[in-house]
This record gives sequence, C-alpha cells and structure tokens, in this order.
Amino acid sequence: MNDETHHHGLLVLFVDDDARQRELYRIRLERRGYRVRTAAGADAAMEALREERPDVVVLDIAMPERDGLSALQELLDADPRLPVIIHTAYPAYADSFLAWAAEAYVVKSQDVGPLLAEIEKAAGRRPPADS
Amino acid sequence: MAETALQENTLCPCAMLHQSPMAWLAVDRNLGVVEGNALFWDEVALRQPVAPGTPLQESVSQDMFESLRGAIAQAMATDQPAHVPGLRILPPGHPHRIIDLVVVPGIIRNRDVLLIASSAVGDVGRRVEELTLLQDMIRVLRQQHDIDRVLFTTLTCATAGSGGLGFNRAWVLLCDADQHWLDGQMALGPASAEDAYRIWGELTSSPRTLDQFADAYDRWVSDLPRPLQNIVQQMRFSMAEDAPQLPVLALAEAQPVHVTDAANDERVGPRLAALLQAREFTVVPMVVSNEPCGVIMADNLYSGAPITEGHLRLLSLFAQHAGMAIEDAQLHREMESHQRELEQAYADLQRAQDQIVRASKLAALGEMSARIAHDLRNPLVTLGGWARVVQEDPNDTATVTTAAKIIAEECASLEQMLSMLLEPFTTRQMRLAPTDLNRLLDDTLQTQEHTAQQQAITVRRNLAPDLPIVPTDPAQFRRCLANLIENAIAAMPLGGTLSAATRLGDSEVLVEIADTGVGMDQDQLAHIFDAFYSTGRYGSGLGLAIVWDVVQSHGFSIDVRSEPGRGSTFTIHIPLAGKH
Repeated sequence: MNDETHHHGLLVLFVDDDARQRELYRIRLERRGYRVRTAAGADAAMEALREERPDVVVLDIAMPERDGLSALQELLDADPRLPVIIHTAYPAYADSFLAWAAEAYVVKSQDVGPLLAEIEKAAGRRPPADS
Repeated sequence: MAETALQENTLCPCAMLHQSPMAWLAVDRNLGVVEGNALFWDEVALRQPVAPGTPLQESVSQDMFESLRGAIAQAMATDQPAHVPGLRILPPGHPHRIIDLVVVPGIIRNRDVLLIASSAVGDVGRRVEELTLLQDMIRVLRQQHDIDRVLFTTLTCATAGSGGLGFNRAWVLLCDADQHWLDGQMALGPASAEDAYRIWGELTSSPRTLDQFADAYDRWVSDLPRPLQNIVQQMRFSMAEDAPQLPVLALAEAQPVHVTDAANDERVGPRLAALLQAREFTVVPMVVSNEPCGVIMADNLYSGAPITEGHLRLLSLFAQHAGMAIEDAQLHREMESHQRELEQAYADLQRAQDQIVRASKLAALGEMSARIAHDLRNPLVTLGGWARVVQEDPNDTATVTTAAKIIAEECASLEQMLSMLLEPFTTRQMRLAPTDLNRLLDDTLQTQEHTAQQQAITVRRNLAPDLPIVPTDPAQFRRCLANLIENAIAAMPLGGTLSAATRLGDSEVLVEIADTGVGMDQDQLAHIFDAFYSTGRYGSGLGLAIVWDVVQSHGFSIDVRSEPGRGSTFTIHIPLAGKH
C-alpha cells in the first residue's frame, strides 16, 4: 500500500479453483500495485498465458480438475522460463520432485507477506518493504 | 499231566523215554546220575551231559541241586511224586525261564530210579514261552509314542534278563531321511563287566518286570552310561558305499547276521570290531513295508553266553515290531512338528495381518489428518485474508460487503465440514418405512440445487413414473443420496451436468447419480468407499463411506463406473421382494 507505484506493470497470473480465494488475492495483489489475472484451472491458465505472458504465475496444486503438478509441467512446457510459484495448503507437496521445477513453494496463509516476497524474488526485483 | 505221563513212562522202554518231548534226568537212590535226555542237558541243566554215576550235585547248578534235594528225599520217603514249582532257569545273558520240575520214583532198566522231569521245555512249550515273551514285549513297546522312549523300550526288551531277551548290550541304529546313512541312536547295557555283575546281582535279589524297566527311562536319560553312548555316536555307516559295512549289509539283505568270531569274520570291518570289542554279536534288520528302517545290534560281551538260534529268531521277530513302533513314533514326531510349523505359520500370518491392519489404519489416519489440515487451512486462509482486506481499507464499502458475505459463507462451510467430520456412522436402529424414491431423490436434489447452480452445474432429473414403493429408512437413505449428490457437485468445480435418475429393472429399482466431472482412475475406484479416503478437494473423506454403510445396512448394493476426465456414475441397486 505504501509503495504501490513500485509494482505497477508487474502481471501476476493467479491460478486457483476456489473463486473466493481468486477474488481475495486479486484484491490483495491489486492493492499492492500488481496487475492480476486469475484462472480457475490449468486450461484457463494456458489460455491466459497465450493472451499475455505473466511475469509470475501463482499456482495452486490441489486443483481437482487436473493434478496441479501436471498443470505446472504443462505451463513450463509452453514457457520454460516462466517463473511459477506453487501456492498450496499442502505443506507435504514441497517434497515432490516436480515441485522442484517451480521457482518457489509457498504454503497458503492469511499473511500475504511470504507470497509477495516470493513474487518479487521470482520477478527479479527486490522484495517490497511492506508485507 | 507230566506226572501221569511219567508214571506211565516208568514202565515204558527207554527208547520211548528218550524221544519224549519232556526234559528228564534219572538219578539213582544215591543221587548219582543214571542218564538224561538231550533236552534236559540243553534246556534245564544248561551244560554238556555228564558220565553216568556223576553225583547230581556236580551235574546241575547249586541252586537247582538245593531245590531238588528236598523233593527227592520226599519222593523216596513217600514213594510219591514230589514237585519243585517255579524253578528259575537263568541262562547267562539269555531270557530267564520259570519251569516246574517233578521228581517221580520209578524203574529204568530194572533199576529203582528217581526221574526228574519237566514238560515245559519241549518245543511246543518253548514256543508258547517265546510267544508269551514276544507278546509282552510288544505290549510294553506299543505303550510308547515318543521316539526316544520307543528306542529305549526296544533296547530294554533286548537286554532285560527277566521278561526280555537278556542280551548284555544292545544298540539301535536308524536310517536317515534320505537313506544315505545308518546312524547309531541309542545303546543300553552295563558300561563294564563290573557294572554288569553288580546290576545282575541286584536284579537277582529284586527282579523287575519289563514295565518297570521301561519306566526307568527318565532316570536312565539323566545318567547315561558314557562309554556305550560314545560307541553309539561313532556308529555311522554309509548306505551308499560299494562295500557296505555289516549293519548296512544286514539291512540291505533284510537278513539277520550272526557273527561268532568277529576277529576272523571278514564281513566285520576293523572299525566295527574295534567299536564293539565283542567276539560274538548279532545284527538284526528292521524293515517296515519293504523300506529299511534300521538295525538292532546285540551281544553278550560280559557273560560270554553263546547266542542261540532261538534267541536270534526271537530278536528278529521282535525287531519287526520295534521297526513298526519306531516308524510310528517318527511319523508321530513329524506330524507334531508339522503341526507346530502350521501353528507357527498361522501365528505369523495373524501377526502380519494385524500389522497390515494397523498400518493401513495409520495410513488412513494420516491421510485423514492431512486432508483435515488442508480442508481447514483453505477456509482459514480465506477468512483471515478477507478480514485483512477489510482491515487494510475499511472505507472500501463494496469490498467490505463482499468480504463480510464471503466470511459468513466460509464460516458456514467450516461448520458443515465439522459436522460431517463428527457425524457418526449409522449405528442406530433402522426405521424402515414405505418410501417413494422419486420424491426422496427430488427433495434431496432441491436442497443442493442452489450450490449446483452457483458452480454452473445443470441438474437433470430422469425419474421413472411407475416406480414401486420400497422399504427404506428414509432419513438414512436421504443422507446417502445427499452424500452422492454432494460428491457429484464436488467433482465438477468448473461446472457440468448432474443427472439423477430412477429406473425399474427386472427385479430391482435403480437409483443413479451421474456427473460429468473429474472422474477417477482404477486406483481411486478401489478405495472410494474406504473411510477417510477422499479424492475431492472438500469433504472429510467420510461421505462415500457413509453411502456404503447405508447401502449395506439396507441390504442394497452399489456400483460405480468412472473415467478420468469424463465423470462418474453411482448406481444403487434396490432388490424388489418376491421378484427374484
């Protein structure tokens, strides 16, 4: 909020099958100056990717439509340099081999700070002062 | 009987007396031997015939002379037969015999004589004695079942002086399972000549029955005569050799072998001769059902008594029975060991099964904990996140309104989740009532139609119009249907079609809930009715387990068809009574 101008122009693609969380993170990220696109599943994410390449993808890997890890693979197949942050309620997935292909692994929390830090890191910028 | 025959015989020609099946000896009134038949010298006096005129005292054993003296005096004084009952004949190292003697005054070759006679030692009598002995040995042998006791009893029968065959020492050797080796198993007999005379002396003063001998096993085992056991351990003969040792040979030919001069008998190998140290011994085979079982070896090392034909015959006969008893005991032991193995295997299996059950319960518990943690984390993130959004900018009224609505919804969803977790399985009594399945299904659908619409799900009903009324517990069955519908909705997060149908089959009513959702693979299908297993993102993993429980308790059945990416169809089969 304090330095929202800092993030203008950085596009985050937020992939989550839960509409309430998509809306929540859209608001929270936009308030910090990010541009946000949301997608409910892997197919919508691929479509968004084709329309405009995001700077960072935040991907939930507990989506029932398709195994989140294979969605990750599909995204990376389409764009190997795409920074993807896994955003999940399952701490156990961090050990999965495929999860290593992701830029970062963030366990969902009401504190958005760790996610913002990883987004900044993944986009190659310094982390924001405010979390 | 002997008495009458003798009185008659006193008048008969001597030739006839000589051919009598009785043993007899004539003495004159001065107790000098007149003459006797061979049977008497062989079987009663146990010695070579003496020259006529030899005093009786020098012609028979001291014991026998003492026993006879009184009877002779009585017979002379009364001119009537006098009896000497129960005279013990103890051929050294041979089975003892009890005979009755009678002293009869009579005339032979015109001389007044006293005939000392016994009828019990003729061939027939001896056979009867032998058979009685054998029968008794077999009886004692058959009382044993444990292999070691059978072996001990076998050896006791071979060595016991009274009631047994009276050998000095005896060994049992048995074939191993592969019939490659003939191995010494057990030996019985005194360890030395001193031992032998001490033991025999004790036994003469307090004789024991065969049963008493056989009962001495426990005492004997705790105090094994070492030298004899050492010989047993060295008795190991290959059954595969080209030039087999004597025991193997006897067994292979199924013939008893009688060695009378071990040192000069080329059949006796130096090893065996050195082990036994006996000049004379016998090896008797034990063959059961044409299969070699083992051999009994016996000798009279200490007494030096010769091994007679009859003696050998008895041991051979006995060996057959001993072989059978040993075979039985081995089978008995094998069976016991098989049974123990089976019991062990059963116990192992049960332990393994317990472990598997425990492990799978733990796995299910772990899965459930992970799922609950996940299911709690998501609404918590939503709740906390929206609360923070409000905190950040309380003046953004539109967002505040949205946040309040979502927080309320999320709390309701959490509450529902908790009640599902805490919902017990159907433990209460079934309350069956006539149920209109179409109506029950329609009612249940209506309660969830709103949720479905929000998720862009189309609900289709295909309800058969002429459905019979069936007995169900409506409350439980509604819950079962509700769980299936919830499950279908959860499987279509991106929308789809939920089809609810009822159909009338040949002898059943079918209720079908189908979705066009994510579907399941074979692995998932195998577990969907397990408690705590869940493939959807929400739910405790109990939903389908409850469905299974309700369907089972109604006596219905359920099947599921599913394909990943295409959806699942659950079909409940309700059999119609009287239409099977």
